[in-house]
Amino acid sequence: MDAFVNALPLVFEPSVLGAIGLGTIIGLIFGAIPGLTYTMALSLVLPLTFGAATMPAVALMVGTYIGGMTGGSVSAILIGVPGTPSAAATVLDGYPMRNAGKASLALGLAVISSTVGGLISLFIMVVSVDLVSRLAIKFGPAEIFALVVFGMSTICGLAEKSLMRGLIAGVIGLILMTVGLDEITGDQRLTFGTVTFQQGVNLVVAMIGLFAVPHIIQTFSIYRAGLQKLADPQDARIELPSLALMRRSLGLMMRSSLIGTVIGAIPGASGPIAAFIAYDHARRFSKDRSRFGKGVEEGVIAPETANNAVSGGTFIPLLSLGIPGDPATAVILSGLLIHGLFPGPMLFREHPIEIYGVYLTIVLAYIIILVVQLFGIRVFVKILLVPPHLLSVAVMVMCVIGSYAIRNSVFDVYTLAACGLMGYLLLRARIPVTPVVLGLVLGPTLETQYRTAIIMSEGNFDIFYTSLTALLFFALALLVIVLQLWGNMRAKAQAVRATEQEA
Amino acid sequence: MSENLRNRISGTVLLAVALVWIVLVYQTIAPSPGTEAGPRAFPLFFGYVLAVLSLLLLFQSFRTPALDLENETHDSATVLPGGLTAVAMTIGSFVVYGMLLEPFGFIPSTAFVVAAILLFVLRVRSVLVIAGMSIGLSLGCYLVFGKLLGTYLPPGNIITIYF
Repeated sequence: MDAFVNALPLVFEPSVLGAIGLGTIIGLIFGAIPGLTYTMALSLVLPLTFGAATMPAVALMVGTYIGGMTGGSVSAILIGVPGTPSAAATVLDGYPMRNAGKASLALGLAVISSTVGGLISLFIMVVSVDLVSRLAIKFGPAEIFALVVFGMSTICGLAEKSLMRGLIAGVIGLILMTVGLDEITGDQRLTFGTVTFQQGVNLVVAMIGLFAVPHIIQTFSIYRAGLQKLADPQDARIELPSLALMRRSLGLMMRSSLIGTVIGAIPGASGPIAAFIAYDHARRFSKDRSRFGKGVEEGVIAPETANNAVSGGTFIPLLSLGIPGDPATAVILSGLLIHGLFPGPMLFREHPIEIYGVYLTIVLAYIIILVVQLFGIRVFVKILLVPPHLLSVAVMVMCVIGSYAIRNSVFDVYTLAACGLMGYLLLRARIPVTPVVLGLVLGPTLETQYRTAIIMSEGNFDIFYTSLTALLFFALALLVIVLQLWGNMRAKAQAVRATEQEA
Repeated sequence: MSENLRNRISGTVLLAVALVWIVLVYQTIAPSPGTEAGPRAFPLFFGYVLAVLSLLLLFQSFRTPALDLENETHDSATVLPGGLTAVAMTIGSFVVYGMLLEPFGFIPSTAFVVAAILLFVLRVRSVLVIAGMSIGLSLGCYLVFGKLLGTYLPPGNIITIYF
């Protein structure tokens, strides 16, 4: 308690508050613009902290991280392109909501859900840091592989109308991620001896290509055909969700927060997985599943709550064990080390004031983000008033900036074009692109963890079915697939019956 | 185009892609004797899975009766309007942008590509819109991303050499 009291004045110093504010704005901007990741923002602000004291430095990084996590939803809703991989699931219902003239409500829901998710996860993190970290650290490669298999099973739910085409899309994503240097042996795979191919397909570049380029082509085509409709200016207002909606969604928010926190605590399994699992959970337990994908509020609430709840989860292994859960927390870890905070069990004993300072900084970051988004969202919503074809030209430039800036490589711009063409062709073939992204996100972890498990067990497959945790995740994956197949068969049978009755 | 015909074309193209992929994997990634977790295992496995799924899609398209359920739940979001011209021009613009970026630098190449898209793809004829968008976007993005946020934007090899 003393540490908490001592941390309070430290956090409310103007330099710390200013650092949180600056960090959140930078994070929001990087998070909102497709291709500019908050990991990149963190890498850029890290050198700025070298000359600063510990708390302002930590505050700047935490603000950027949380701002970036929250900002991804803005572009996901307004232009149908997720600003961050974690916001990919938000597109599924956020963009249809925007198309239905409910952009302001979708943005309001995203802001509130993000804040609630982040704060609930922080609470869970503070009260259960020991328990969850003890569980998560016991996860070996077999358990993480099983978790990823469970994550992949959500493809069934994202496959739209045809499970077959959804699976094809997932496999295309998995195939793409095998190009480049093998993570375990360093062998070249499908590089054709070229250096540029050794980099492989960058996840963010592929994601921008798959989501943004078909969108640009569509907007240009609609404009050329003279079918473009300008956005209704009435869309350009802030709409906070009603109390009734919030009350109705409280249970979903709590469950999504739990999903996000637990998944965030498992290294390697971060925001996108949590968001997709939470989305699938919301859809599965909805009274009317058919509304999902067409602009339902729960389709924004669940992924946004979960992907922000991941922030609390990722801090558990980061602070207690020094294990970063994702690339962004790896940058934060290096920042903590630079400022003399060595994560691990001793950190809580040696720097209790700073630890409470980090907790308070997270709370303040969410409050500042809420305020900045509530008022700054007016600026973002103004994008709706720009004619879509001109906005698409700006999106095109930003896509190129984002793709190029990741590795300062023109190769990534060409990859963007190739992925964009692929995304367009897939959509024309009625193959959904979201499972491709899921394959891209989970592919490397799936392969690396499977192979590590096999190497560790010297080729013995027992490792996968002797772990209760792994079995639990496999069983959950099987359950999801069976339920989906059963649901599909029932829907088809109903449709056939309805057609026969009409005839 | 009917759903079955679409599935037949998709299935055939994807099967061809899968087969080419499998051949390439066999030809370019060396096997790892004594281990089931070598670098070739996953690319090969995914290739076979894609081939099997493509075949299933093909078979499904021949087995599905004339009653086409999916046409009844037609999803306009997945059917993009517009012909090949818009696709070719958009993808071509990205490629040209990439080609110009490093030799000419961010500002000139952005201004050129934006103006070209407005003129040829969107057929905008307002000089004010073309000039405003091309100069505004290139300079605005340069100031915000390059200067304010410190993102690296190529200065241009030709410009760096001669000026």
